[in-house]
Amino acid sequence: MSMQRRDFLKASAIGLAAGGLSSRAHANAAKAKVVIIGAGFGGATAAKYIRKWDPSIDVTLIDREAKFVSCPLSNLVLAGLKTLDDISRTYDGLKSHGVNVVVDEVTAIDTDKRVVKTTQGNFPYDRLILSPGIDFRFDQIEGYDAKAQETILHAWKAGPQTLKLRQQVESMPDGGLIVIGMPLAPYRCPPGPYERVCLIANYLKRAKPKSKIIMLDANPDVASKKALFMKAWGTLYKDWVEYRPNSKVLKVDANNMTVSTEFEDFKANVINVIPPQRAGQVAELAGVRTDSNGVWCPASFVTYESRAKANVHVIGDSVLSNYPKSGHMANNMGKVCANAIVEILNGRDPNPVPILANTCYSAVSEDKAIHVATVFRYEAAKDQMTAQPGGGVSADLSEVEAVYAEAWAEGIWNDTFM
Amino acid sequence: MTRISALLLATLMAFPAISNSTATPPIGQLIYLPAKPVAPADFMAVPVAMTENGKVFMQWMFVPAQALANLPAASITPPALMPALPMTVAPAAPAAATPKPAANSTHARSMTATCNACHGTDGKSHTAIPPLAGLDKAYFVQQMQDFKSGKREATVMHQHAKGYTDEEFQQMADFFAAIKP
Repeated sequence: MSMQRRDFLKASAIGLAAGGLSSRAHANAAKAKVVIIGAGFGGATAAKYIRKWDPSIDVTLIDREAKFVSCPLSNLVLAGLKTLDDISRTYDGLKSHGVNVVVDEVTAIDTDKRVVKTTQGNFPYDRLILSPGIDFRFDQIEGYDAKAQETILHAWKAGPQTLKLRQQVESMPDGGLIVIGMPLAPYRCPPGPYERVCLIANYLKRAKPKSKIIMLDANPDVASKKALFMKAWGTLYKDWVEYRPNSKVLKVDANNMTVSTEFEDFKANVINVIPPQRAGQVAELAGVRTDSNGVWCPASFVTYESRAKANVHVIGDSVLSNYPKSGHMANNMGKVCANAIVEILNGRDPNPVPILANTCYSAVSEDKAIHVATVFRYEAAKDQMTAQPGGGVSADLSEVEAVYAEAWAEGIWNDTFM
Repeated sequence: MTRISALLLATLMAFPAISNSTATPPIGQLIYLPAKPVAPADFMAVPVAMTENGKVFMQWMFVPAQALANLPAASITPPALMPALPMTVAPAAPAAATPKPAANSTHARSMTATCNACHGTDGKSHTAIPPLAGLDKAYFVQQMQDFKSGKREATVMHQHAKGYTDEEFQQMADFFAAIKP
C-alpha cells in the first residue's frame, strides 16, 4: 500500500511539474487542482471541505444547473406545503470559500491526460471527483420514450418536474386516480417514494377527498421504515392509499394514460413513474460505471477512488454500495473523499477508518415526521462499510421529529452550501 | 411475509453452509453478505448468485432482514468467486484487524465532520438542533455516554452514539471543545 503511494506521489509530482503551475494570478501557486463534477450534496460538500481543509488546493466545481434544488423536502412541494424557492440554494456560499463554480455541460473526460472538457473550455485536474447522481433507465419500461416522458413524469430530480407534477395533481378532478410506480432497490432515497404517497394523500384528503392513489412497488415489501409508513397509511390515509407490492411497472402508454404491471392495467388521471436508475451519464464519460451491469460505480470506501480509473473519485448515489443512496450519505461521502484527497495531496495517509452516519427524515403529514439513523464504519477485513449495531427508526409518527426534520434540512443545506 | 420473500427466505435457508470454495455456486445462493441488518423492519439489497445459459451472474435481490439475521457473518468473499463471475468487485483487503488511526492524525477532523450535517459545520448550528462548538469536554462525553446507555432520552442521538467507542467520544469532545462558538 505504501509503495503504491510513494509511486503515486512520484508520478503526480512529475505530472504537476510537467503540467506547470496554475495559470491563475495567485500570490502562492496552487498545490494541486481538483475538479468536481456535480454540485449536489456530494460534490458541493467535497468542494467546500477541500477548500476549508487546504485552501492551497484549487477547486473547480462544474454543474449544468445554475442553482441547487433539494430532492429532500420536494415531496412537500407536491403537497402544496412548500414552494420550490423554499428548497433551493445558490452556489454563492461555495464561491465565498474560493470554489470556482462553472455552470456548464461536461462534453468529454480524458482520464489519461486528466482533462475535463465542457462547452466553455478545458479543465485539467490532478484529482477528479464525480458526483453525478442518477440517470434513469427509461428503456427498462416499455413505451417510456421521450414523448411519453413529457406527460409521465418522474420528479425524482427536484426542479421543473416537481412543479409540473404538482400542477398535474392540482388540475386533476376530484375523484381522480393517481398511480405512482417505483423501482426495485437499490434506487435513490429508499423512503422517498413512500413519503411521496403520504404527502400527496395529505393533499388529496384536504382538497380532493374523493380521489385515490395506487402505489405500484416493484419490491416485495415496503423498503424503508415499513411499520411507520404502514401506520401512516392505515391511520391517516386509509381511504386514499392503496399499496401494491410485487407490482413492477412494465409498460406505460402516455396517449391512453395507462400504466401496466405483469397482471394488470391501470388507467389514471396522473401517472408518476420513478424508473430504475443508474449512475449519472458523466460516470460513463469517465469510464467508471463498471459494475457487472454498467449501472453503478465501484469505488474504494477509504478514498472513493474509482476501482477502474486512477485519480478519479466517485461519491454520492453513483457509488456501488450496500448502504442507502441518500443526500445525507452523499454529504458525508463528500467529506470522507475531501479528507482523503487533502491527505494524499499533502503526502499523508487517508483516514483508514472512515465513518459515515446517515440520518434520514420523512414527512408523513403537515405536522408529523419519522426517521431512520444508522452509523456505518469501514471494516478493512471485508473492505466494506459495516452498519453498526444500535441504529434504528422512530418510535412513532412524531410532531417533535417534524421540527427536527425541518432543522435537519436547514442544517445540511448550510453544511453543504454555506 | 409475501409469497416471494418467503420463497427467498427458504432458498437462503437451504444454503446455511457457505464456504470459500471456488466452485460455481448453486442457483440462489447468497454469496456475499455485505453487512448485518440493523433493524428488523429493514430490507437489504444483497447479491445472490443466479445462473443463466450456463453463466453465473450476480443479481441484486431485496431481502427482508429476518432472512439474514441467522446467517453467519462470515460468508464467501467476492475474490474467491471472481473466476466464476463477470461482476467487478473490489478485492478484499488482507485479513488484518481494522487499523487504529494515530491519535494526532486528522481522524478526529474527519470523524466529527459527519456530525456537521445536523449540528452545523464545525458544530456551529443555526437551527433547532443544538450546537456542539465550544461545549465543555466532560459534559460532551457524559451526554454521548448517556445517549448510548439510554439514560438520556433522545429521538435519534442514541442511534448515533451506539455507533462509536468511548475513546471516540473523548476525541470528539476534544475537537469540539477547541472550537470557539
